Amino acid sequence: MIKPFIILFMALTAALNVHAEADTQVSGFGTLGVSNFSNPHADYVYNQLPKGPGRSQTIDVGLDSNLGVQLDHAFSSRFNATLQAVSYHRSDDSYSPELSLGFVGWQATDQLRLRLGRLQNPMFIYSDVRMIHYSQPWVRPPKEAYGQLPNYHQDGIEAIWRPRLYKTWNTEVIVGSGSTDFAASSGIDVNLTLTYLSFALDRDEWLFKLSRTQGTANYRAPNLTSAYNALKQFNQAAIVNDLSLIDKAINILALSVKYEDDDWLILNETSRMEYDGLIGVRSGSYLTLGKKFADSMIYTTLATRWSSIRETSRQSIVGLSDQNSNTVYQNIIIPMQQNISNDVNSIAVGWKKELNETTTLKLQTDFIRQMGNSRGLNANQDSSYNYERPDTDVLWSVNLDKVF
Amino acid sequence: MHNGARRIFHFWAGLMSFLIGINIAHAAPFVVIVSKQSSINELSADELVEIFMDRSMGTGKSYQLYPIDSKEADLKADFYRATAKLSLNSVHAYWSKRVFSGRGRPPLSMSEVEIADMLKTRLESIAYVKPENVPAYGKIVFKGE
Repeated sequence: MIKPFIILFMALTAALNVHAEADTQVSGFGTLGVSNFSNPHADYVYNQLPKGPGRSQTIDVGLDSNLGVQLDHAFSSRFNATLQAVSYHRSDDSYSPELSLGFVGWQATDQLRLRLGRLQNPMFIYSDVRMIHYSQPWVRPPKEAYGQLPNYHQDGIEAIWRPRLYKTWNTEVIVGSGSTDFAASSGIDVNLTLTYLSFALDRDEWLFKLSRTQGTANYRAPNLTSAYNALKQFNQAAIVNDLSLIDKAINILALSVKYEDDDWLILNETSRMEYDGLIGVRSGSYLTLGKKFADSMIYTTLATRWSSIRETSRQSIVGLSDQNSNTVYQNIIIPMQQNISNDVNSIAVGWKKELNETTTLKLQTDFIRQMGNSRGLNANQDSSYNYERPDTDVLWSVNLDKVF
Repeated sequence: MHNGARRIFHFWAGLMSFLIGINIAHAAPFVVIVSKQSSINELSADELVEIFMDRSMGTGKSYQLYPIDSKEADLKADFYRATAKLSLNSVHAYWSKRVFSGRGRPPLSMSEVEIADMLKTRLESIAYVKPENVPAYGKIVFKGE
């Protein structure tokens, strides 16, 4: 997987030596973030983090902190290449740098651009800059919606078409396809092959975006293996196949609306993910309302994540008496579904201050309430974690974001 | 009022004053210039947004120009306020998103002396300066206030 990028990097380096006089620019970004989570029985984590603030009851610096460097090189007016590496808290608990963007681009026409290499999915308004907290209104994107897109980047090809369809609207259509392998938290190995289509319209203060991502997903989750083995002991190969997370179709639909002027920010994004197998259907949505004052903004975000259990799972139980069928359903299948359910509601309030042209300070407090019997979006729950009657957890975050 | 309540009131009043404090600044006039040898004689605000921000504003025109931003923050703010109706912070946020998604770079920033040099050496250059600082090689194609 990494080999193509070594080749790309060597090619870019060679090109830089040959075209030393050509246009090369170095830029970067970084966040120094500290956070604290009120729940001593679980960690608040973001996407693939192995641990976060919570159980340690200390100030955590790994939730949002990162440092990235980007190299852009224009070979000519039509060809360019970009490399971006980011150091952040990764699923293996290290901060080793990762190539987050690495492509060669070709401006085929004034309206069409092709890119080949490591790219970021543009499904949400901020999903292609998820690491660049400076560009975002919050300390981090609401994971109730953004967490539906499991990968930060994929290796493949992308076409960006900016036609002049309407006289006064900016129109952008992005079509891409690629694959990615990564290790998620809890020892889960993930392989995704995805194709995406994004259609965006913007004019003045308004932005509308509609995106669709579909493909094939493989989640190899060790903590589900024992449950699958138990089902096999009941000769339930059909239901094991039904609930399996290997080689299953995944479809994600997202709709985004944004209004922003000098006084107000209104932002709503809603996504729905269908994932054949155990996960079923998950939906996430948030609404952010911000009021601006000169160089600062106060904002609040309401977010929710809800899921639907697949009823077909029960119908797949065959060859057992009603009593045994019910036993399998209640004692194996329901706990499996609860184990991956993460229904949650949250309210965030925050303050963003532009310290200068390239630096922002953000303070945010999240009040998070997971639904009863859901796993929520936390991780590393200890034995005394109350799944049935969870408390409202409070997450405090202070971020200093910088671009250079 | 109790001391505690007074302290809270003062803190709250101070915080609100800090948050709501508005920079009262008057926009200064500026002009947009190209090389005297350029065939362009006039540009609209929408065309300038297309050139400086790489955004389609539906003008249907395509110019092969080399935009240059001013190093002077006040002048830059006045230019983007008058043409794109955006604050400087919004312009920075726009470009940070474009840059770090690998979708474009902002114009280079130069002083008015450097801009004057660029107009001589790179004929497709376009920049904005204060009206009193139009160089000898410059031709005004837009007047902003």
